[in-house]
Amino acid sequence: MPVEFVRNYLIISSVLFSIGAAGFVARRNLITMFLSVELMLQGVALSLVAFGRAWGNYHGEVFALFVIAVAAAEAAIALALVLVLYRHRHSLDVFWWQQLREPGTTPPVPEPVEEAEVSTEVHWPKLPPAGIEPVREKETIDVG
Amino acid sequence: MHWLLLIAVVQPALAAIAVGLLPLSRGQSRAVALGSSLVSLVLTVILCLKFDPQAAARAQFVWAVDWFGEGGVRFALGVDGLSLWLLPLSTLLTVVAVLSSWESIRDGARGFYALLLLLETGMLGVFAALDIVLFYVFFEFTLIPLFFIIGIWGGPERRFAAVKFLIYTFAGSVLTAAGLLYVLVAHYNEHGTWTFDIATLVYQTTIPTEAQMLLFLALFAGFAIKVPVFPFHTWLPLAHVEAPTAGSVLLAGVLLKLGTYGFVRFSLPLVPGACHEAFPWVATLAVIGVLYGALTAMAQEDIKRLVAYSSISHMGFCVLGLFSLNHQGIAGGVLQMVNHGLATGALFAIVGMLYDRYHTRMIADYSGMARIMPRLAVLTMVVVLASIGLPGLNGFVGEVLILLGAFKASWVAAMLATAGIVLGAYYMLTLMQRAFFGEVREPLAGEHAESAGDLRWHELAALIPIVAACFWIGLWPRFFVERMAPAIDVIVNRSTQVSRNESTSKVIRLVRRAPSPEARGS
Amino acid sequence: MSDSIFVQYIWLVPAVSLLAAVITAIAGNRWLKQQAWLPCMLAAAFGAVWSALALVVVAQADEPVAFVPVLEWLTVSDLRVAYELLVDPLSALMLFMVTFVGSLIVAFASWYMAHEEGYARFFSEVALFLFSMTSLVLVANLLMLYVFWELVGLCSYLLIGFYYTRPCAAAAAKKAFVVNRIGDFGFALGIFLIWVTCGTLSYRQVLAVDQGLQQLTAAGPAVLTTVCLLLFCGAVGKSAQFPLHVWLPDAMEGPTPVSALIHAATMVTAGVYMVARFTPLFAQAAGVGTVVLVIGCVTAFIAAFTALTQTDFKRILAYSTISQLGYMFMALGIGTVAGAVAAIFHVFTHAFFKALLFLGSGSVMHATGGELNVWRMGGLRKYLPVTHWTFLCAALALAGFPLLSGFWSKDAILATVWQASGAATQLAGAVGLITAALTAFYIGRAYFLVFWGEPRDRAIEEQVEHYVRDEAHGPPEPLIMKAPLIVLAVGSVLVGAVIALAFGGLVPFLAGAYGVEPLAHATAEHDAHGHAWGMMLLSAVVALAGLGLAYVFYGQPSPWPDRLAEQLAPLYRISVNKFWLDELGLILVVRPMLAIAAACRVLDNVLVDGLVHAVAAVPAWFARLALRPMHNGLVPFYALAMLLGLAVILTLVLFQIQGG
Repeated sequence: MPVEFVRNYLIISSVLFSIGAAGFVARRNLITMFLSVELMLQGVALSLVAFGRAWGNYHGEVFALFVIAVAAAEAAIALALVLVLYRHRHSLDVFWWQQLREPGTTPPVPEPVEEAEVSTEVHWPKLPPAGIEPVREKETIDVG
Repeated sequence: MHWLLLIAVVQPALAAIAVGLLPLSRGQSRAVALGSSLVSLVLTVILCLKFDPQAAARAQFVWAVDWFGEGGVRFALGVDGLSLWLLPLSTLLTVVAVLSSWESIRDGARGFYALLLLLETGMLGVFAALDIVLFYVFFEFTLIPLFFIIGIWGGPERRFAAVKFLIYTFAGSVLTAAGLLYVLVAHYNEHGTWTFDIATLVYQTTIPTEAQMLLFLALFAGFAIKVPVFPFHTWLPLAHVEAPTAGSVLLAGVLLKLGTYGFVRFSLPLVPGACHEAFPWVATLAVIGVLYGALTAMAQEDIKRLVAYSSISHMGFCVLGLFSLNHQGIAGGVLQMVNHGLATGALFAIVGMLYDRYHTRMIADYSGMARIMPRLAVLTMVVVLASIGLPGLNGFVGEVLILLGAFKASWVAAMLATAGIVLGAYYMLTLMQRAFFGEVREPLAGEHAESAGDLRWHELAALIPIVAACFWIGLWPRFFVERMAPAIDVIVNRSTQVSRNESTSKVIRLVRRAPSPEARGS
Repeated sequence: MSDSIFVQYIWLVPAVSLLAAVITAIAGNRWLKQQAWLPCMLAAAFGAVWSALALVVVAQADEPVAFVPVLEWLTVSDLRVAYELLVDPLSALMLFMVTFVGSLIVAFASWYMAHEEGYARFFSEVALFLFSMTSLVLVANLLMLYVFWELVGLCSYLLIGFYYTRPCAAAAAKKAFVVNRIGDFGFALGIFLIWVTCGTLSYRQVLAVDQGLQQLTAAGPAVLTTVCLLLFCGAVGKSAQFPLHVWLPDAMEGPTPVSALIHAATMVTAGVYMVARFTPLFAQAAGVGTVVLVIGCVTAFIAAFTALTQTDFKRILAYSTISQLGYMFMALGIGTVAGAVAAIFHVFTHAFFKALLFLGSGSVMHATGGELNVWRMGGLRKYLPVTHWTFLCAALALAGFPLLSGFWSKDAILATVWQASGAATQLAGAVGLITAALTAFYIGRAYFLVFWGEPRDRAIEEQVEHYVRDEAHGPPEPLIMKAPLIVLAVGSVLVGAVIALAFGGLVPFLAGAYGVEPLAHATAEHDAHGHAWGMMLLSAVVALAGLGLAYVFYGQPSPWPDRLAEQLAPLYRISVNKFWLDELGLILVVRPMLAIAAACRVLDNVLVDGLVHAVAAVPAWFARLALRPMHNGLVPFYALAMLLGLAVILTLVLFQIQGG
């Protein structure tokens, strides 16, 4: 198998994977984190396709299709979960959910301050700008 | 291929699955549980009657198929003289457990009975397993249903008790697992073939002398905790006090025997040299267990704790007998397993019956119960007498055989253990005197007046078979001992061969020597 | 002899009793009701007749020892235990005594226990006792002996606790059982030691001079001594010898027929029987005889001295039983066949008069509505004439009134003791004489206080008058109750004289049991009697003096008892408080044991369980220190950790590839 043939694909796929990994670790917004995961998956899928092409068979592509299908299923569930989480706190900030830590320990990162009044109206999450704390949306969007 | 044994072992598990999955009511699920456990009881009794006493050294009613692996792990069941009487004991006590939970388990009865039946399969599997892997699987499997039975239907501290019970016994049996693996390897090194057959492994493997003690200790770790041998016993009172009646009955009646059964099945034939060498230490622990258990029982105010500590005392006898390594001691030890199972199982059932009526287990709350519940009093009296080793009942046969055997091995140990019998009579009869005799005083008579009354049909049905078995063993012990004797001969022969071949250390010879006149005269 | 039907089927005697026990237990409450005593009575009477015939067979046989195999009970390798019966003069005599006295007492009890709750339970337990006791005297195996030894103890426990709702009855029952267990502790060890040394438990081998006995002596002198001392431990418990006698006075909480049957006539003599049975061993064991003698002597004196001041009617009799048992052990302590025969002779006569005394006390208790304090009674002879006369016979027999049965047997003991060489035996003989005087005095005291003088308590008097006049519960002394009393009274008066004069003592008869030449010993005994006339005279004088003093003190109102009690205040206090032996046992045994038990309980919770928790705490501590901070709940942190871990693994794999 000519390494040269897949090298460029692999470079791109590893770059995609790394960006995704870095994004997942660095970002605080749940949806952004989720997108990062998707990025990692696609990086892997790309390399699979490339390998398949290199071997001259369809195995890699079949696998890539699998990955896409799984990613779709995952997206459906993950987004639903994100929505559920959002309903609880009206925020997408991942630092709101540190409850999995050992009971009795202090949170390593201070949890965002709970606002005094939480609107009962339905808020839809919005994507914040990159790298900064997500802003809590005040305005409501009419569902209808 | 004998199907009877397989059906007896597997059928409760199937019934458990049925009870667990079908939407049965409380009445239906307990009826299924009773039916299933009765079927197993009948089957095991048939097995005992059909058992050939002449061939008791070999496994009978064998049912075996290849299970997994190319080395030949088999799903092999069978019964020999050592395990024969433990099977009907398990099935009988399961019936007792079902009957003693008849009224007392109200919430989640379906799950409860399913777990109880699963536990029965586990217990029967341990005793019937002919394959070492199968044995270990069942050995550990018994923990799981009991863990949930204690943890869900137990008393106020049930969670802690269940976790302590599980972790403590599991910690020990992991070492046992290592020991059993070592046996497999040792057999392979010696013979060049893999085998998982217990009989082949224990009777045809020669463990190198330097490894014997280590192997002995590894096996001892798991089995001693299960028994429990002093000082590894502290999980027991807690687990018993917190467990529901059925759990206590099976825990004391059957699960403790897994430890002693392990000793007699693996330790004695596998590492006879180490058993000889360890006798002074094991006997010391056993005798301490006998006396200490009895004394601690004496100071208890909770009937259940008292019975739990008496278990420690009685199991001490059992261990002492087994490690005397002579016919009488081992026969007594094996018989004592059954005896203790019957007597203690019945005692826990009786405590449950009292608790169901008055919701207290304190001895001080009871007085003159014999007047209110004469039937219960009579049955309790019989069970108590069986437990303190009165002739004509089962406990006596076991204890006398054990003491005779122990006396052969070490007269000091036998003497101290005999003192334990005196203490046993004291605390058990004190219990009778305080709770059943004396002026009639019902605890909280006003509140629970409606529940006070003599035994109902299911309670009678739970106790009478046990009492009948106690009489049977006590009056006609030959029937029972005959059927285990050939299997015991094999073990004793093996250990005497080894002790003849190996020169034991000086310390041991000093202690094990036949009592010298100077020593006794002084 | 063994082809005689009465010997071959001797097992019918216990078997029928067992059957009676089972029948009464099952059918008693529901169907038999007031007839519940019948199975027991029939069984006892059958046993009496059968054993009387067997006794005749044995007496006429040339070789009077027969082993009757019945069934194999347990066989484990070289341990063989069979329910095998031994019929010889000793067991035949004991068997006859048990069943004969037993049937009389059962007849009495059918009247005495009527109207009691648990009528059927009582007779079921009594029948079980008869089964156990007859088996005990018959079995020919040490382990079987132990089995029935324990079973009679069980019956005793159950019957003492018959009135189980009375706290003191329940406590007394437990005390009896546990104290007996202490004795059995030694007994069991003795049996184990015999088994380990001889390899067998059958009397056939153990008692054979060329087998068991030889092995025991060959194993070293200490072995035989130890065996005998351990066996004697059992006898001390069962036969209520010092210091384990404390259970017997308390055992009087049981119904009076039980006291008569179990705690006077039969069960408590099991120890005597056992030691007599093993006399071949005891005779060879150095030093054991002295121990037996001293214990017997101390017991006889202490109990008699205690009986002097007791006010409880049945307790006086109980202490008297203990004291008489002490006499028997004094004789056994001589360690010769003659001594054993004298002891058995006393067992035999004692069974008659002591059972009669207890039955008399039962009759008195019925009349007085259960009163036991002798100081509240008085003048009962005019209300209960039969009871009075029969009681008098028994009391005189106990006191050793010349020519009554107690006189002969007690004299046989004293003569044997007196003639044995050694300072200890001389001293024992002297103590025996003093005790004889005390015996005459205390039984005279009880007799005069109860039957003579005027009623001392108004309420009791009314109760008795009401009892005698009221026909609702039948006549005060019906036939079924009178007959046993009269038969026993005849026995108390005549048995001793008949045996001593007509048969020339028991020696010629019983010697057959020991396989020694009857003739040689008979002559020895004859010589002994020849020399014992002085002793007979002396003991007669002592007995009469005791009785006379009792009459002076208690025959009519007298200031003497009080004055003497004041004069000898320390002695009086010792007697009244029973040498503080109960308290001593409490302080020295029970309390320390309970304290140790409480300590064990604390130890278990703190130390043993504490250690377990300490071990369990190590991983927890490590986890808290090292692992807990890692679980901070921060999702990005977990992700980072995963990535780093992945990086490490990848690096390692890469190096592996490079290296490989």
